[in-house]
Amino acid sequence: MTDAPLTELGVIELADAVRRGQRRAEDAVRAHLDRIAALDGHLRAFLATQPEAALARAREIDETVRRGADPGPLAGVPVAVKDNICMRGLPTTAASRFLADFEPPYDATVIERLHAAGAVILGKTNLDEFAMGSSTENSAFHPTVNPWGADRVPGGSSGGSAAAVAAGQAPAALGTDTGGSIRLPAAFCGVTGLKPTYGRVSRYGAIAFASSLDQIGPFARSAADAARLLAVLAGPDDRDGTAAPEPVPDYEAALTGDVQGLRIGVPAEYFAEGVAPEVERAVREAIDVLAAAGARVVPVSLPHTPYALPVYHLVATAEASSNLARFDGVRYGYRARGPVSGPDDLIARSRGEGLGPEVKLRIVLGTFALSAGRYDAYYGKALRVRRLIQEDFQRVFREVDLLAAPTAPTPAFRFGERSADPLAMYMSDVCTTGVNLAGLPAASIPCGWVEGLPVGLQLIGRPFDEATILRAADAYQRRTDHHLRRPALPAGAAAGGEAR
Amino acid sequence: MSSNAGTEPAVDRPYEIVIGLEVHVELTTESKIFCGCPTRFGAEPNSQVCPVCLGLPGALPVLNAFALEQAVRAALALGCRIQERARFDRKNYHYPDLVKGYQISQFDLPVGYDGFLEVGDPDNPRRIRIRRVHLEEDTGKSLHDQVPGASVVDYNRSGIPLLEIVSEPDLRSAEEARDYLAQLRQVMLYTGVSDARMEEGSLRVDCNVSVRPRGSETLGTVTEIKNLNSFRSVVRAIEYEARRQWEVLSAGGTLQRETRHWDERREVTRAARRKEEADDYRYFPEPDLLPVELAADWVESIRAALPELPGARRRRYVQALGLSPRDAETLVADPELARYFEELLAAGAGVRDAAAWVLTQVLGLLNAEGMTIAAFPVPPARLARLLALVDEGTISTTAAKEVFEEIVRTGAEPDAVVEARGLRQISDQAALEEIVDRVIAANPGPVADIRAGKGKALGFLVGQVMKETRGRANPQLVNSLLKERLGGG
Amino acid sequence: MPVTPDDVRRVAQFAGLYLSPAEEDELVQRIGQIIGYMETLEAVATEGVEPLIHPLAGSPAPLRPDTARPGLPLEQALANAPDRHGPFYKVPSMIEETADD
Repeated sequence: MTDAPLTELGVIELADAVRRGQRRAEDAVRAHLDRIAALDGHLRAFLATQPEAALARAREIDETVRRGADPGPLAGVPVAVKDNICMRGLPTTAASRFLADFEPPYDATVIERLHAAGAVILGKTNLDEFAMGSSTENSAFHPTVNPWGADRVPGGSSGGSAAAVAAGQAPAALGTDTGGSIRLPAAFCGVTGLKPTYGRVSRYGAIAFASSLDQIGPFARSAADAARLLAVLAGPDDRDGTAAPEPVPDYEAALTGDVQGLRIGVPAEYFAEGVAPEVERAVREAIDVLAAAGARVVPVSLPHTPYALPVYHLVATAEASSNLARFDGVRYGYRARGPVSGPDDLIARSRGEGLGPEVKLRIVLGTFALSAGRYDAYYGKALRVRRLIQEDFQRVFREVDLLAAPTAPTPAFRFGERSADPLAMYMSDVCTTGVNLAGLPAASIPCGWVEGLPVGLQLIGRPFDEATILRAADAYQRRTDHHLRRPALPAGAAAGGEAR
Repeated sequence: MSSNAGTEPAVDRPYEIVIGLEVHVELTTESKIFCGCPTRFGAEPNSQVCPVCLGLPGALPVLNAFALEQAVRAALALGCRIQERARFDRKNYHYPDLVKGYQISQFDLPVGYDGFLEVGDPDNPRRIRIRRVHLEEDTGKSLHDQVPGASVVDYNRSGIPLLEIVSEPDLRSAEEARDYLAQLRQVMLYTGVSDARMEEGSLRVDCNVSVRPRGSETLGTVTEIKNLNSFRSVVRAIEYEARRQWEVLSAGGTLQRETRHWDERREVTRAARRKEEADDYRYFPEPDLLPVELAADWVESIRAALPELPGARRRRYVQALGLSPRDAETLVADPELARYFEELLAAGAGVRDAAAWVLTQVLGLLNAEGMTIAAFPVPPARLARLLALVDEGTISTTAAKEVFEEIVRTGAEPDAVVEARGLRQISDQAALEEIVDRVIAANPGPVADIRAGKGKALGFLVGQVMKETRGRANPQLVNSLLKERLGGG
Repeated sequence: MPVTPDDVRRVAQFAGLYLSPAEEDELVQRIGQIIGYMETLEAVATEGVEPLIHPLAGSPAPLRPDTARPGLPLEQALANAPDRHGPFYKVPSMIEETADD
């Protein structure tokens, strides 16, 4: 195993090898930087990299090991970070022209935790502008290509992070998930992606989209790797008033491989029309694997599921319209040039010019939903239906321990296929938004293929019960090999070279 | 329209003024409401800022526990009911000094509601209802005179904790409004919630003013007046605006519901630039802050620890101690001065003497030297001793003033000064009798005048005795001895 | 409830967004579509249902102790300022004109 090319090692393998002095962090980082250089002209998963800083940090890790000290559970692990998470040393752009030159004077809590654990951050990855989108086509800079098909979107909004991990540019990445933005790209790119319970991971430093829905979460190529990453990221933070005080369990210890007696609910509404038959088939086969391993499969119903998307759009856009009000060009970011008639004019023109069309659309929608005379019918109504959606989940979780469903209704679609019709694009999230509204944890793992494109199985758990999700996902991955398949990438992008 | 603010006496006015006040006070805390930046006044611009109070992307608010406690304390002191659960809401609008494009405030569930403040005669006060007391964050401060054609912003003030106190429109005159503000300020001082200084911006006032014919019950069109810098401006602005409104209405015109600015220089209110749309703040619950339970026993412990409040103290001074309302007001207005007065009483001084000395000698000195009572070098016990010496007759009042000056200057004990300067009054009856008889014998003319009924000469004889004793005779005793011998004139 | 260009214009003003006429037209269309879709919520019975804002209801609100710590150094605070004047952020003049009486 330690002979494998560095860019094929998982997080746990690599970290443990570095800690034991068997592999060097500097070699691992260099190998991944080389792979980024080789592939990213085509994939365009990254918006920026920091090779010198990364190699310097890697050398520090190696030095720590040489001195006999433990650099941490993610020793030498290269990590890619979605560019809506603030980090010093590089711009944090949220893939927006508005923040193209913004360099935060502080690190997000998750960045501090990664550093303390010995991880090495390679760079920032592409996303839909301000995390608003399902395909990464809304990036103000350029799209990202799905490693499984050059004409396919990687999903969004965390498309860059998912693609980077799928392509072996990093064994781990961070994304954010508001309505499916980790899970959907994980499904489209054939990797493991986890959205933690709301409040499990500190949001301090994540550029807010929807405050009551956003969560930062890990991408990796296995559930076990995701478990190690989550352990580092999770836990209370006195800088985030919504981060939960719940103690963090030992996620890796939960990976027993045993799902005997695990009750898995299959919600009928998540298999409704709109879900492609091949996707449904792959997902049901995956559930059968778990059943064969001893899990009990129970049909359940979440009757308010059809309302999740409209509720999501009202709540998320309302919160976003307010969260993005700070982008006014006064203290940072894009400021309109030329004469202005006053502060209102400066602000309106800076925002009008600096923000992309999907972002402006959602801001207008959200402002509309909150406006006088409309609040009760739109935002107010949505919040009440939100409670009914949460209650649906609470009810079924009295009978089952986990829910299994498709992550997305289709595999990765083509560039341009959905971008003309906002409603069609929004439909990509039909299986994911309910989870955010209820604040639940959920993961997507690869479970099959449709014409060479990956299909994602979504596992949804009780609040703060990521351990059960990871256990089931890991058990599935011990019995199958979908998560081991690698995309064939263009020539010149063979397994990244590394020094021994 | 003339700018002579309200020159007719209120009773002659054909209209009634209806006033509501919205007051903002800066809370006294070490750190800001949602971040740990210092709140110290007067720091270098933009030196007390962080990602949270600059509204940088990714920053999040976390509530200052003590700011919450101060808010509850103030609300209790203002007679409010306390919410079981306090919740924050976002007030959304764009302005360069508002870093997030929204202000975190409280809309639906303010910390306190249904309170009151009493104004006017302590024996017959009027109750002004307080609708709500809520917490919110302050904005940055913009300056317009630093750069020609531009404005600059300092965000040190962004995130300072503010309390907003909204009254019902129960005030009926500019004077009453001033009284309300003075009382409100005192409550803030007594509870330690804020130093509430208009000149420093830690107390800010917006006035809502309308007029109506005497006897009418309907509320007239309300104008909001901003940019008031002192209690005096508040009074003048209210009277000006009320007159302006009445003149418009009397001439058959109509009034707009609008915001006006007080122009201190010209002493008029002027319409603010009209906006096309009234602001729609789109209040919604703050998702980044969980609602806070205000536990009943915690609230009760704050209530139990409240100091004697100014209203109660004023009543006690007048009713139990017998001070005049004016004297009571002067003492109560400065809680430290009142505390000194009470310590003086506790050290044994009589109420009348203590009040007299504090309000004349002590306060006179403080005002002359620009000193606060905290810096006054004479501890209450020492001043009480001086008053006791006068009370016992050991020294005269005149001598006491001399002693007072010296103990202020040198910190000496009153007894020591009396001995050193030989200020002890001669109160020994026998000794005085001897001198009195000598003076009577030496002044047959004045004595004859007194016996003839011209009482003025008595003073001359007293003066002679004082001269003989170099001012040390007890003047009351001398007076009574002379009257005894000469038959009272 | 159909969405009119006036609605969009007014909302854009509150949102501090300058929209070109073309952008406005497109938004009217798209928002009309999306709002229509959201109106499906009218069919859901929500009498007596409390709004859900914080999914973690029941957690006590975390509070901060009132201790001051230093803020950002000035140069970091101003590092991203589009325009500055010494230690201040600079913006176009904000002086409110008053209308004549």
